[in-house]
Amino acid sequence: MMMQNQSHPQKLGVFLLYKGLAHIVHFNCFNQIGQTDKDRKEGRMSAIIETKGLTKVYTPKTALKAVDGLDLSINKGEIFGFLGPNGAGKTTTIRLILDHIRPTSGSVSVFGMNSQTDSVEIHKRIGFLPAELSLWKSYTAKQVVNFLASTRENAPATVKEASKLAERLGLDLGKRVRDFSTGNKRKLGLVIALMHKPELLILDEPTNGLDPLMQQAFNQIMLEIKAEGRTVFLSSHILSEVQAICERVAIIRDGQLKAVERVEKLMHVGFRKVSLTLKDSVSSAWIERVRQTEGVSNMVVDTNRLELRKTGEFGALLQVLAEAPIQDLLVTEPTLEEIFLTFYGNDKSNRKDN
Amino acid sequence: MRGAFFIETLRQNWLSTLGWGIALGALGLLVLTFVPDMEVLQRYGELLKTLPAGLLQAFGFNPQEQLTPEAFLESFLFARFILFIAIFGVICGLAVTTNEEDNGIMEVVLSLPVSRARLMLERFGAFALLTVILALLMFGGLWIGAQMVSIPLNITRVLEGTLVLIPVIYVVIGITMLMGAVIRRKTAVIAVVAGIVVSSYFLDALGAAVANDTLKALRGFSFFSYADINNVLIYGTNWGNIVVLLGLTALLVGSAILVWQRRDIG
Repeated sequence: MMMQNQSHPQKLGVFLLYKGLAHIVHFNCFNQIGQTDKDRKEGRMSAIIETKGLTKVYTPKTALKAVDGLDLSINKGEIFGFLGPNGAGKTTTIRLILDHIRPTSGSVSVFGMNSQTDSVEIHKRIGFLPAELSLWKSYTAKQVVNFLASTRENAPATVKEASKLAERLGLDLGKRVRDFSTGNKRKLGLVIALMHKPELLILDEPTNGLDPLMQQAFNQIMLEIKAEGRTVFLSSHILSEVQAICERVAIIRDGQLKAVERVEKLMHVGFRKVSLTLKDSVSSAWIERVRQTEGVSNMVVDTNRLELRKTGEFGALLQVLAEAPIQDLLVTEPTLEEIFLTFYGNDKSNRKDN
Repeated sequence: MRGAFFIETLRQNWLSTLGWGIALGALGLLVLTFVPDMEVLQRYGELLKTLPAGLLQAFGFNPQEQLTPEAFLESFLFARFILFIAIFGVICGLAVTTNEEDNGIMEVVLSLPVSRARLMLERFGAFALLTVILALLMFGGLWIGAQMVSIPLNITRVLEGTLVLIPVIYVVIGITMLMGAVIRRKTAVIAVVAGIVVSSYFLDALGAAVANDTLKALRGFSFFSYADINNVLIYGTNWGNIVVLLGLTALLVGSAILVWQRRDIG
């Protein structure tokens, strides 16, 4: 009995120690990677890439910031799209993540490691496809694969995987790099990036030069990678490209992060641009009926040309349009810039929603 | 895998090194077969003395000296072609980082699990080995040539004279690596390195031939002066000079690594 009584405080001590340690572990783990209980409950996983106030100035004289105070967090197991027009700072950000260039200020961590001091360890776990792939022109694709695989830990398995990928993408590894078309060179780039089964893929404009069939194959591969719990960070200036596979996208413009959103939220904007060319002049009453049609906005009339934005169902609009002598009708997707402006109005202030 | 860049650099460059080695060896053989005996050598010496002294001095000849087999070899092969051999060093130096940075391949290379320092060291190591092979191939040609002529030639000294070229090429590789790390643009690197190598060559040649104290003092700033092949062929290797050249190489390669590690690539 005495023994039992004495053991109670010990058990309590062990219990408190356990709870305390658990709390410390919980606090450290989730605080370190910027996660909250809410994140965890919603199934969000640890940050694979994290940038804090990342800034890059190429020429100090002009003080022009290629990347300006970028705060970004990419979670494990997601396909993250990095969107922005050409010259927005996408490639600069990728080069900073890969430690090809050094930040003017701010920091990058990948897998929780410092991108500069631990670059070798980080690169072991990364696959990279640059926007403009240059390789040794006199080499055959096989020689390129063999050499790059030889820098990895399990070279034979890497080469084997490269052969499988090449077969899947319809790439002839026996050909010399100089004889490859742009599309085939892109395929080789994908093989190189994927062949060692990296935990993180960083792809800069990956589908540039790929035909629609290959784009589908690419999307399929990306979804398989995601299913395996690996992470993809891909940059693009084409919204439809990231729309198909990405869960979240970040929008960058003039080096500044403008938004981080889930794709479905961005796509909810969902308007289409409609351009009409009319054969003859039309009545102002008809123009007014078009303007009044549900979902029509931003209408501009210029002699026999008419431009508008349409959201929602097209049935009612088509019925009205059918009454006029239409020579040409063009329906296009909005540009990234237009979606951005629609989504956030004209307020171009930084809005981040991680 | 460690050594991947060393092996790949050897694989990429062994054939061109073989070509260089065979060409230099053949050149050595050709030069030696021009002098089948001492009588012909003396006639060459007489012929040289008829040329303007200033011209001879500018190209490293001493018109007062007797043309011995070693002096002949130094004047007609080593002194002339050391500049040619320096081109090999520039080509190697450019292949360490500059070429790939210039044509965009470095973006792929730097995404591999290898540090910048290791990349440079492995490639320098490979070129260091290829330089030894080049020198041995060149000596091979001279050795064959020496068997075909009847002039008294100390083949051990010829070997030493050939091997002393190795640290000279290392210095050229080091200069090119450093300039590549500092300047970045390939054409600018070539221009600056060519300027350094050619001015260093003439500084050495003039300092050796002209009786001018300033020029003689300035000669010490030329890395070519530490090769001093003429004396090597007559008296043997000057190990102090070899240490200077190897030390300079280490300094240049080390500086190149430090600079290249710190700057933006691409």
